Amino acid sequence: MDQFLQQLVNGLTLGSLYALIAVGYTVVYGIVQLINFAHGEVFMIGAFGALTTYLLFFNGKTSVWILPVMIVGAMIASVGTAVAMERVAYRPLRNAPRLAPLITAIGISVFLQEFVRLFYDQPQWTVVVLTGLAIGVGYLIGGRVAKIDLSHPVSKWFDRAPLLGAAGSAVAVWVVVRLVNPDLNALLIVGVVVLGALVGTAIGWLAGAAVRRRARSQTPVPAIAAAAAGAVVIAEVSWVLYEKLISNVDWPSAKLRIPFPQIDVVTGTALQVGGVTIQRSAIFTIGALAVCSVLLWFFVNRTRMGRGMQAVSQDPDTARLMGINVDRIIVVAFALGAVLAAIAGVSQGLQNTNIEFRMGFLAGLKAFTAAVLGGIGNIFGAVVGGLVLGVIEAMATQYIPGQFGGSTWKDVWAFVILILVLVFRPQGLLGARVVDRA
Amino acid sequence: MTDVETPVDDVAEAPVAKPGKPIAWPLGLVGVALVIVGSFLSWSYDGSILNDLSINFYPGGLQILAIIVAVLSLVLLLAERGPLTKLGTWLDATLGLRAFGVGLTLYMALVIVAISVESDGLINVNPGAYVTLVGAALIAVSAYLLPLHQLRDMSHARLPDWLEIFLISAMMAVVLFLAAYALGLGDAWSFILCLVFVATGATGLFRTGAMTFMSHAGQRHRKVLTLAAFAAAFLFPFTQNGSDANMSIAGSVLVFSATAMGLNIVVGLAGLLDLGYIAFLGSGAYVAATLSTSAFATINWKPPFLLVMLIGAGVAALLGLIIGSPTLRVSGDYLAIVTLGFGEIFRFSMFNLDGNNGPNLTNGPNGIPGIPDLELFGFNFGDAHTVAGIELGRFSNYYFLLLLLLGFVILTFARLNNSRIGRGWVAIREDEKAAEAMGVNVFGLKLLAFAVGAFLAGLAGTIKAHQDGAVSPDQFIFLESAFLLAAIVLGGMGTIAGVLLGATILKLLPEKLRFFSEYRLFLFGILLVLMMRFRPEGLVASKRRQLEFHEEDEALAVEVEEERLAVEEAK
Repeated sequence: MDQFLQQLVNGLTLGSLYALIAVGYTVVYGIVQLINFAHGEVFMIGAFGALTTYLLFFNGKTSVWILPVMIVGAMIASVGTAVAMERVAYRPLRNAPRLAPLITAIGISVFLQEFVRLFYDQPQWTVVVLTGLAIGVGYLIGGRVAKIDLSHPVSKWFDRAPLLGAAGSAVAVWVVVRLVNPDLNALLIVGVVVLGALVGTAIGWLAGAAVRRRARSQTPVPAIAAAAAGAVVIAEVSWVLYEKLISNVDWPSAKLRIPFPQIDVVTGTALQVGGVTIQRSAIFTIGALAVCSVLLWFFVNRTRMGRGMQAVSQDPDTARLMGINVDRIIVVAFALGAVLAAIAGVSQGLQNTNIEFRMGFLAGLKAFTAAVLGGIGNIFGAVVGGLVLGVIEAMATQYIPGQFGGSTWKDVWAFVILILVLVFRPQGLLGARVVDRA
Repeated sequence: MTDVETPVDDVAEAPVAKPGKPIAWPLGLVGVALVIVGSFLSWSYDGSILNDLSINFYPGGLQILAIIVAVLSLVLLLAERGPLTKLGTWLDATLGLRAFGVGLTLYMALVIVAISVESDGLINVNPGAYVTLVGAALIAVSAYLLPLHQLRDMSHARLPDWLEIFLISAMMAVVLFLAAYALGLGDAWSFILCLVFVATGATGLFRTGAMTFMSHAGQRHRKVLTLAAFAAAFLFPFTQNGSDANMSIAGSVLVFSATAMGLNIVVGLAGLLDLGYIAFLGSGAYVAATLSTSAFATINWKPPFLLVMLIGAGVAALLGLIIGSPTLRVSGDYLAIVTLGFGEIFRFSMFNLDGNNGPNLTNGPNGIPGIPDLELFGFNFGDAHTVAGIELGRFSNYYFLLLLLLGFVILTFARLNNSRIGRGWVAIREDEKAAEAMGVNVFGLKLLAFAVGAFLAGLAGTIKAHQDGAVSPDQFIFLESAFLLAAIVLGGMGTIAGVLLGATILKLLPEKLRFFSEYRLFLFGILLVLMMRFRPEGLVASKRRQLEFHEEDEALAVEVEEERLAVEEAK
């Protein structure tokens, strides 16, 4: 009996983790009918976001108040990743054949894994990423000021040329000056920023003039200036951040497993209840799932945004006619999944005591299995499916006799369950929608 | 937020014929002259880099490449005005010249970068390189000043049969020569520069329409084209002088291409996304390994290899049927995930069947090493032998065998594609319900696609096991499946040439450009995303397929429809 209870606890812990990740698959699938294959990577990024926060600000400390900060850091990292991925990769493909987003997702997956690995091995590459980010932000600022809808279906690269040219060349000027002389004093920094902004504005204006006949809209000069100035300021700020924060940390190599920080209260000696051993991190994981489920229920059923989500998942076209901003709902769905995945990432780190840049793949696949098991598109199905899958896995390790039992085969059993469910009950345990998508 | 004007009809924006500037043509000639003169001068002070570009009046390999582009540009300039104007009514000289000019300028800029990186700084760049750079820039400028022409329809262009056949063979010979030359380049910079040259040449030829002509000629002499391509591939080992380094790369490219071609049936024709395809290659390889005479093989039955091939392929096909028959009821994304799960199950099983966690079949994580070389008809594939004075090593032997296999796979693909079955697959891919309503046996055909694809992969796997000499579970990870899929997507789904190109690019580049192996996967990820965003139909795309991804493109739709009508009329 003790053995059974022990496996039940283990299964529920594992299952809570799957459930937290599975919600991300199911929410996105319910709204855009897209299997966000890269969601496992969002979970991995969450764990690494927490670790990065820890290394940047609290290296070596163990007090419990660090945990919320780490969770916030994890959420920022994974929500940022998920939203950026939706915006850059998935949105342009929304009406493409089904194959395209799936292949994109594989690409994103590989990209994110390698990005994390390279970031930990060679943190100096962050500068390149940050400069790219600066250009992007400058471009967005310019778009805001100009009040042009740059993602409008008919806008082409010619419309974007002035803003991109301005942001890009402003940052380019800044980069050149920085390369010539990396240590500038405060006055010169201001000079460089102003110079970058001016040159950027000029080049952006020229670019605008050059494509004037082909562009469908004119970008006003203040917007170009805003793009250039915004880009160069962000570039400078991120450089300061890099010098003051990132380059001071001794980053562990991601080629091996990286030890995850141990925090008081949630890690440490296990509790004994009767004959059952319960890890502290297991309590944290199950507790996190419980809190998240309640909040999720409240969000989906009691808030305007949540009801909007339900409407979009039932009928996107009608929802649009009713005045719901479908694009925003989709972004919210991605962000919602990412928040839960971030919490799962932290839990995984606390439980396993180390994390790895490849861990998202298998976890994501298992979580997808859980989502399918519960009925994809059904949010609470994902929670139930995750728990059931976790318990089945734990029981399989314990009770399957002979050589095919044991922990080496548990992943195989999980996938066998996936195949069986898809074949015999594709609508899942709780059943949400008929699955017949080409 | 919508200041954007309503779209203007794109057809109205067709390039207006601009009168060219009179200075353009002489400027281009000056550019060509400068490039040729500059290429005969020394480019670099340091003779030890880039295969020695330091001697005056004795051009090295990279300089000859520049001269070739210059000569091609000269031909186009003369087609514009001069003795070859007759050619000018067919070929779009201006567009081709633009490609050549821009490409050559990029090439020269890279040369200068390469010289200054490899030796110490710009000081080592000799005047010849600058002269050539200026010449290249002049060609580019003149090309942009030249007018655009109204051209005649390339499909009416005819040459005497013997000349067309000669051109096809010559093209294949050039491809063979280039491949041998590029693979022979040791250092990464030379290789990159050679790639830039190839890209420039190919873009230029496509822009002028010369390639359109070649493809029409190829259609007219299909057998010659196939034979020439096969002959070129067959002759490749003879260019390597018995060196095994390049032949082992070539062998792995062939295995990869053959597998990708098999997957192309499943994904490209039938439209079933299979993310666990590497498992079929793996099952073939494992069958061959366990039935080989390796000391670690676990089955004591040693049938001859031809039988092993059939068993391996059969086992793979059987697995395909087993996994396919229940799962093909689910479609689209779900199928992708199921196949992915299956691929993982395969890998875990191979990992676990080591005697401790199951019956000892695969030797677990260590795999089965020491697989002996093949022996077919008394000929041992490990032996080197000499043909026509050229030594052919172990990898060359496997290369020939794999070439036969690839030929077989391509033949299967082409025959199936043009049959009732292939048309059924395409119908399923386009619209499953409509296909079913038209009487296509959807389930049977899907299953057949799965089984045929698995069979071909299993076949490739049996040879791969002997070529590599070892199998282990970590050769068959998900990433390999993703690479196979990427080769198809990159090249162009459902095409033969495209998939071969994609497979070659994906396998060859990482091997030759070792220094970027650290960023290989990173760039691979970005490449997939960008490809799907900007050119989802692949590098070589069939028009039909292109239309699927660009539904709003009216001009393309009209073109496809006309093509279809033309084909029907011909019948």
